[in-house]
Amino acid sequence: MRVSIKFPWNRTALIGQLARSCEKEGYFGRTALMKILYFLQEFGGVDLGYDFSLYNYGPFDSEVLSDLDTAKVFSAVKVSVRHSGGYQIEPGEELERAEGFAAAFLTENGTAIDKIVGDLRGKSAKELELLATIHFVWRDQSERPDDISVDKIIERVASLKPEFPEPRIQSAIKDLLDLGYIEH
Amino acid sequence: MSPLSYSESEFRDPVHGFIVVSPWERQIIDHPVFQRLRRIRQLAWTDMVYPGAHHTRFEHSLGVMHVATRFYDSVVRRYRDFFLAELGYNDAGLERDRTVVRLAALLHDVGHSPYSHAGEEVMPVNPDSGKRYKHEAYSAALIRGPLRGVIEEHPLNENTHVTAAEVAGLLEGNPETGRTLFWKDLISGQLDADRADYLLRDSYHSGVNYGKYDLDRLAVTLAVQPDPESGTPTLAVEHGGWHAAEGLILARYMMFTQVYFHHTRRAFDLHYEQALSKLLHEENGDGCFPPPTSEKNLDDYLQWSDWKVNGLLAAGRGGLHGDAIRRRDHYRCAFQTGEVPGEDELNLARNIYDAFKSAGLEFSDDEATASWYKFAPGKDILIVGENGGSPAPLSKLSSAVRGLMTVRQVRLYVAPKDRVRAREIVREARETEEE
Repeated sequence: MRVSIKFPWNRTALIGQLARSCEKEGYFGRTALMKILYFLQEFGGVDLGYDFSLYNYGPFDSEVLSDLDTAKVFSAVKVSVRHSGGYQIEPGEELERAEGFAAAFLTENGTAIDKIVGDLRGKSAKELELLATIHFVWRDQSERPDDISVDKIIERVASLKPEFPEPRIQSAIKDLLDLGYIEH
Repeated sequence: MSPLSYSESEFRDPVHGFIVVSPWERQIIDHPVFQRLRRIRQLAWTDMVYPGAHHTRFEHSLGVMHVATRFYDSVVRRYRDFFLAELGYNDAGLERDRTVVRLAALLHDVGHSPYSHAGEEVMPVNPDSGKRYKHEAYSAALIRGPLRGVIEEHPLNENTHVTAAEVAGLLEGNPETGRTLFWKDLISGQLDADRADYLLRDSYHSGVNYGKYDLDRLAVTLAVQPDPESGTPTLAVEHGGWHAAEGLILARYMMFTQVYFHHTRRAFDLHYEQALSKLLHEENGDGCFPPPTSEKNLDDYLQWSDWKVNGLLAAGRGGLHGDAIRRRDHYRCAFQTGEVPGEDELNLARNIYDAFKSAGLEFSDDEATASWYKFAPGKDILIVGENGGSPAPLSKLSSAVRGLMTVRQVRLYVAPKDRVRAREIVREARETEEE
């Protein structure tokens, strides 16, 4: 079979589950979804099949938004637009059903999902974007082990995200080091 | 040419009128790597359905550069203060980035294989990612490789010192790109110049009207707006241009369903993929293109164009699938779901698939999300608030866009000899489902 003729329950259920886990900490929007899925795949090793590319707003794959659309169509999530213009993603009426179909996937990746969601929920969209950008840069830099240093990462991230002062970037790097998402 | 002279060139283009290039860009365009794009069809085998669709990646690449420049100039002209104050640009920096954006747009497709995206399935697997290389990886390698000299060594680059690595980095989203990465959205994003050109161009050459939208209005209403969630500066559309953005999304949807995912066009994509794999096996002992990892590999890759494939097919090569292309005796669509299939429809598709297999039919399957052009509505294109109000995603303003969904249509194709049996199986499967 060239393509997978099955409903994408794994991603759909995961998106709904993230909405349920994160809504307690305040609103869960599109940016948080994108960046948490990034960390799940790129740090947590969850096989999601996304292809994240770096933009000035951090790692991004438009397929995440397609999956959000699908999850909404099948009521695994509810999506509304806040007054500020951002998204609010909440668990939907059919989430449990979706989780049922994706049970094996969710169980297999439960440890990674729990850890990453536990580490990151409650962080603002701006913060998540910075953390994901740092992780992306660090991973890119680590392919040149002789060239990797905290100073270099700060310099790279500062040029990508000039809205963040260097002390803030340094603090975010420390957060990722403490969480074990990057290492010296 | 004297380095003290400056003479622009103009290309007459059916979509944009005159496309003007500098002597530096002209030298890049004259390079054999770029000229090869004259031998790469933009829409693969779509001419099997729309006979006029013979246009190539060459003129499309010029068009993307032209549109990217229009977008860039429009945004910089109206948001110059933002770029100076918030992103630390000066006029020289903005002019330099304009050059990088133009070159990235011009060269974004140099890495395409014969017949464009139809060849993506026979790209080799990248051992680092476990996924197939895409044409973008070949583009970046060609820019850093054989095109490097013509990019970096022209006298017009003496003041700007643009590097091939920067141009490739913008296309890749390389972290070393720095603040120039802001412009990546112009090359590959919801409002990118690539899409903006190919919708109009493909529509024109196919002889359809589906791809037409108001490019002029969109270009003059592009904006920079803080993202409402993160505050990051993002390309957006001013409130007065939201209908133009809506038109772009509707054009994408119509072109996808009527042209890019046309059932006959996709049948030929299937045949071509198989035929090409066989040709590659015969030519280089492997069923895929060489990876973009060495100078020799790139040289070998560049030998492949539509001309080479056509010659091999005309000589009778490519096996049964090559024969299907030569005789236009392609697989037929025996079953398809709706554009947004639910669980029941997908189960039906699987049942029919299994039944085809059990019956020993010669068949293949396809899904809309497997198409490079896969349609996902740009619901989240950001629209600036009216009269200082809050911004909103396009889907909030446009009921038409709000109603669009990601197309996930599934199709099952069979060889002509199995059409009758396939029809019976589909009928039986539907009757069983209804019981």
